[in-house]
Formats: sequence, C-alpha cells, structure tokens
Amino acid sequence: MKKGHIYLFVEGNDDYRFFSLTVAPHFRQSYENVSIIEYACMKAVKVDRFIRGIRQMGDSYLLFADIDEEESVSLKISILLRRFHELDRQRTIVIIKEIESWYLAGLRRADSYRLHVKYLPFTDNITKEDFNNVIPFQFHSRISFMIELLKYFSFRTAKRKNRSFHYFIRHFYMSALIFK
Amino acid sequence: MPVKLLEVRNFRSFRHISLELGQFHLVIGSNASGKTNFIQAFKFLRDISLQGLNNAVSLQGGADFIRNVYSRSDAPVEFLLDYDLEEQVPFYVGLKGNVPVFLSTHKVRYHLILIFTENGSDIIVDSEDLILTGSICPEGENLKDEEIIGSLNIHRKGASLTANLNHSGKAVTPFKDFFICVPRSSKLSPKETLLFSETDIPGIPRIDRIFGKIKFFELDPRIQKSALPLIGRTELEEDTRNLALVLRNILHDPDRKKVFFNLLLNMLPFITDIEVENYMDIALFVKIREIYGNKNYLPSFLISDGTLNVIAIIIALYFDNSPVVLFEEPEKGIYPLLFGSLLDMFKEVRERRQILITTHHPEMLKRANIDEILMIGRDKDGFSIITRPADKLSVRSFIEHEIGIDELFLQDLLGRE
Repeated sequence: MKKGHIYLFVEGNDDYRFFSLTVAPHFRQSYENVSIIEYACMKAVKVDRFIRGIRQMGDSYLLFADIDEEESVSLKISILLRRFHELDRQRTIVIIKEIESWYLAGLRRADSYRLHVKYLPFTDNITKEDFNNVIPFQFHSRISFMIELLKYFSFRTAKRKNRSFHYFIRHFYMSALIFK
Repeated sequence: MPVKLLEVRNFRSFRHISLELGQFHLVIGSNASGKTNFIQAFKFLRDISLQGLNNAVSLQGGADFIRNVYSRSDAPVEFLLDYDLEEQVPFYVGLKGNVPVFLSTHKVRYHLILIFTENGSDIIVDSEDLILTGSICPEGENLKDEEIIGSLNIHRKGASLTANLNHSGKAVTPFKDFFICVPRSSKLSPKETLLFSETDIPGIPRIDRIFGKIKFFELDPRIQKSALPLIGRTELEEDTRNLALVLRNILHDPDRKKVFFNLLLNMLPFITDIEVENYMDIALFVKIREIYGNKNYLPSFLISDGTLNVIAIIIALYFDNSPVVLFEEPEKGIYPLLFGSLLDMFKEVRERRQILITTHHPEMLKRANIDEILMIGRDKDGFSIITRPADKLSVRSFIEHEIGIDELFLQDLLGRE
C-alpha cells in the first residue's frame, strides 16, 4: 500500500529539474503523491509554514540543500536548523557539493564517452564552475546538457560516485525500490 | 447563475468532465492543460446556436479537431448544459382551444450527442434533448389561477422529433382542449439542431437567443491600435476590433461617458481625457490625453497595449449585456499593481453576470477566493480534467498556515490530490 504525500524541498531550478526527472518518479512508486517545492527564493517563515501544514496533514517531507562552502554536513544542517525553525534534522539531506555533482554522478563510463564528457570516477568535489567546464562544445545550452545527462542517469552509478547521493539512497531505504 | 452545469464527453482534450459552475471563476492550468479547450466547449455550443452545426464545426477547424484524438473512433461527442435564466422567458408551446399557451421558462437543459459519419470526415446529430422548465399558462389568463409548473421536453433521435409536457415527471395535458405545438411529424436533417435549423419549426423554442449570448473576449491590442472603418456593430466584438466605434457611442452619452471615465480613472489615473477621432469620414481611432507633457492627444497606435486592454475590459464588463462572459488572460499587458482594481471590477460585475477568466498570473490568484478557482490538468492518459483546489485537503491546510494561493500555484500544489 502506498504512503500518503511526500514534499521535496529543493533549492532552485536545477534542483527541481533533477528531482522531477529522477527521484520523483521513483518516489511515486511508494507514495500516493510527490510534490516538489522550490525554497531558495522563499522567506524562511514561509518554509516553516509549509512544514507546519505538511506535519498537520500527517504527510512527509525532505529538504535538500547544497553544502556550498560549509566545512561539514553537520555544520550545514545546524545553519539550516537555525534558519528554518520547523525543520527536522532527520529529514534534511545535504548535497555534496552542489546539485551539479549529482547530475554528473549518474553518468556511466560508456555514456560519458557517448556524450564526450570526461569520465569522473567521483563527483564529491564538483562545483557549478567545474560542471560548466565539462559541458561539451556541441551543447549550446547548459539546460539542454543537464536534460541529456538525466536521460542517461544511473542510480547505481550515482550511488557509487557521490557519497551524499549514496547517503540519501541508503538513509531513505530507496535501494530496494530503485535497483530491483 | 446562467450556466449551472456543463458536461462534456470526448470533445477536444476532454474525455469526460462534469462541472457545476458558480458566478465567477478563475480557470488556471499549465500550458497545454486544456484551458482553451474548456473555453472552446462554450464557444462550440454558442456557435451552433448562432451559425448552425456546419459552421460551428468549421470554426473549430473541422470534424477532425472536435473529437479527442485518444477516444475510440465510434465515441460520440456529447454536451449537457443546464442554464438558469435571469428572467423568465415565455415560449409558445401549444393551444388551449384557440388561445395560445405559453411556458414562462426559467430553466433550460440541453443535451446534444454528435456522432461521426462512417468515414469519420463529418459530424452529424445523433440525438438531442431540450427540456424547458417553467410555468405553463394560457395567454391572457391569471397565472395564479391556472399556473402549472412543468417542463416541455423535446426529444430528437435522428430525424424525428417527439415532444410532451411533463409535470412531476409524467406527461400531462395541462388544460382541457390543449394541443401541444411541436408537430410530431417534424423532421430535422442530420446537420440541423434544435438550437439552429434552416426553417423555424413551430413550437421549438428559440433558445439560440439564450445560448447565443455567451461571449468570449480575446483582447488584441494590435487590432485595437489600427483605425476602424466607420461601419460596424455597436456591440463589442469578441476580438474587440470595433472598440473605437463602441467607445464613440459610449462617449456620446454624457451619463455613460461619466461611468466609463470614472472606471478608467480608477485603473489609469494619468488619463485626463479620451476621445474617438473621425478621420475624414473613413475611419475611427481612439485617442487619449495624459497629465504628462503637453496637451496633445495620443492616437491609438501610440497608446500602450495595457491601456487599450483596460479600455476594452471596462466596455466588455459594463457596457455589454451578455449574461455569460469568458475572458482569456485579460491581465495581459497590464501592470500587476492594477490587478486588484481589475479584479474589483470583475467581482462587481459578477453580481449580475457570470464570468469565467483564464489566467496564468499568480497576482490574479493572490486576490481570488480559493472556492472560485478551477484547475485544469491532464490525467495519466493525457485527457484534460478539471478539479477544484478548494477540495484538496493539502491546499486547505497550507492556506490555514498562511501560505498564499499564489505561492501554491507557483509551486504547482493546487492540482489534484
């Protein structure tokens, strides 16, 4: 039986694209409904209101945030908890380093060659700038390149190449669902 | 409200919708969700009323574009409309001896089933039901004495017609010596409808006068900017091409001019005067004077799109008498700060007219009541569906927690549960 409704709080457009095309379809196998909320441009008080509403309905949520320049995951989570008073530590996932690293993490070696992208065995240190530098010449658009990456996205590969993605998969028991 | 219920099957992107409507609705939905098709359902019925089935089909782009592409090839296209009249309309239904009997109608139900010809290239009427409910009374007699509340039911299958008067669900003869007017031998061609036929059949009420008044305004400032030939209709056309002509008539009447100008000032306080110029008895164009700069008038081609749209909206709302008015994205070109005043006008007019507006703008939703919003989306098979965000538990909960409708719209949280 499917669980209720899950809300995924993501930072911006690039995150929205990633989650709507990769994670959300898988969540739909175990949840009645999956919604993605962009919170980067939202005031903290509004995020808190959303979380209160979700909690009152008995629904579930996860909040994803880039680690950016913070030294550790726990430090980033502390910052987030100070900003969003209603946020639950257990429902917070920190992306290392930025969502672009998750985009590249799902690319298998063969697909890297196919797309003329340098194969990266690990993507934990990939920043936006690094990502922009690997966009092949023939892609005139960063967005188009991102969509292309998601067409080839492999959860198994991403789990191996990025430790924050691995944590997300393991912590939320999605492995059985995605790799079956 | 005039249109109380609309039910549609297999029309354009809809498989089946059944929708009870209120006096005012904002219709929202993502691109390609089916908002325009929803509007087209009203237009199609209206066009059948005014121009007949052939023309109505042609105005939709031909038979191929009427039926949903995912529907079975033998699936009929179906419409059911419940329409409440603001004022009772008397229709001649029969004779009591030599005295005409009228049905003072306050409610109309129309059900139309269309089917495709064998090769699928054309569309014809399969069946129709027209039910008019009201009080039946012979001419010149005191209503109270002989009034019978009942309905005239006209059923058409293929070419043949049957009609009877019903009371409490049973066919009745309301008066001694009563003869119903609709001749049982009447025949209709497959392309004729009860809304529109080539020849008037005695006893078939002219409900085209009712459905024909549904109006759909598509504001186009590019058309408004060009000069208008002197000859044209006095009612505002749906694409507002005759704006200058209608405005000229309004400005000729000092009382109407005052009402119009106050409404314009409410939206655009920088306008000090508006006139319609007659150019060499050939063409008309709108011109305005502003508080800025010199006292020269700006001709229509220099007036902003938003200003022309505001002028057109004011005329469509306050100087047109259609009981049902549909607008597609009326806020186009208008500064968002003015949306409050814009919606105030819509809400004022909804007291006497039914208004449906499609919009993409969150600022419009911010000022709306959640119960007035209709959301169009697609189901898993690609068919358009219409839901009411107000029925969603999550929407109610978020609103309780002070999340605005506009925010829920931007986050795509107004759709179906």
